[in-house]
Amino acid sequence: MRLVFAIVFGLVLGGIIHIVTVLGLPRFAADDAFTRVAGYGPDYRFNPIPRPGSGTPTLPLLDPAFAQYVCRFDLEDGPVRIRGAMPDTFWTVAVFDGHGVNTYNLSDRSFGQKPLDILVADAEQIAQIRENPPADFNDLIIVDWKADDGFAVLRIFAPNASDQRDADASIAKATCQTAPLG
Amino acid sequence: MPFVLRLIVAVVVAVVVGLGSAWLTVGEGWAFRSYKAGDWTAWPEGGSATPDPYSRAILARTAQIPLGGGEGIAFFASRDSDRAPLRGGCEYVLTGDTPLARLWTLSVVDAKGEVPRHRSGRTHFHSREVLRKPDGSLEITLSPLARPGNWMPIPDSGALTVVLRLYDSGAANPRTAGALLMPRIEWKGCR
Repeated sequence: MRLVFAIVFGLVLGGIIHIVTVLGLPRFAADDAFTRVAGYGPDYRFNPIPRPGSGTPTLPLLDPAFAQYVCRFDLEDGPVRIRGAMPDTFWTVAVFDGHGVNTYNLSDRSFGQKPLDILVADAEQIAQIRENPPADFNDLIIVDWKADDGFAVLRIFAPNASDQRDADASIAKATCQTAPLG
Repeated sequence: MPFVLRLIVAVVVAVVVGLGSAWLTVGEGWAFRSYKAGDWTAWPEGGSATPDPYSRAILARTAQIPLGGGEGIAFFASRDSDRAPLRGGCEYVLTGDTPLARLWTLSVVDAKGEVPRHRSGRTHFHSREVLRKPDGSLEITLSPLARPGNWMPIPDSGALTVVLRLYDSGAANPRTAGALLMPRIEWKGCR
């Protein structure tokens, strides 16, 4: 009977260990996406993510038909504006938080013929910008950001080498920088 | 049974059950809530803005950057329409049609989740190069050897997973997508 009690006690304790491990993993994972993309280049600019199948180690389960780029940022430095003229093909933009959660994402259809232009800001920064809005404020897509750090991912459909060159040329002119408040 | 022994039993049970179940759910991905359609499975929770705690842990551990619902959705198939595991060196035909999407791409990954290299240099096939049959349906041959018509190269050996990514598609939202008609993967033979 006492052994049964010990086993039941162990099961309950095991349940607690399970919950703590699962909830704690995002906090303690040393090799998550936010950490790994830092190796692709400096923050506040779009750096290419190696293509899968090219022989260079890269992030898992990426589409080999796409050219993908990543830009890390931290809102503690101010809101971040992501802009650029994208090539005339299918593309998407996604903003991930520091734990690698895909928080905000759109395809090129949302921009029509207009260039990519997104402002990532927290509630306080958005309020400050509203007080003294820039001229093009109404065309801006504003992402209400609940975290500090994060990274933006651009995925451009580039099935051939020439498409890859077009994508690289567009990205060379794209920016991902801290924007002035108002 | 002395107290110390019972305590050891309790601790061993706790560690095995606690860490074991965490490993199975997160490490092996058992807890990734799946979305099945025909021969295919997707994990839309991984690309959700508010993933459940298991999906969060899986994202942190694997460093995946999955497609969000506004981008598209990735479907995976590791078995053919007869439920036999997909293998390199065999030939399969993908038939039927895909759900409506502005663009789709087809690729394969090996047992390690990596895109294998093929001597043709091709790693993918996509909707803008597909030749459709007169009735509008698809027929794509997956084979290690070059094939006429729609051909997606696969390796000469090893376990295989086929990945069909639908971009800008209603299929990315399982709650509103309804029943999806996905292509079938039919086994044709092995070398």
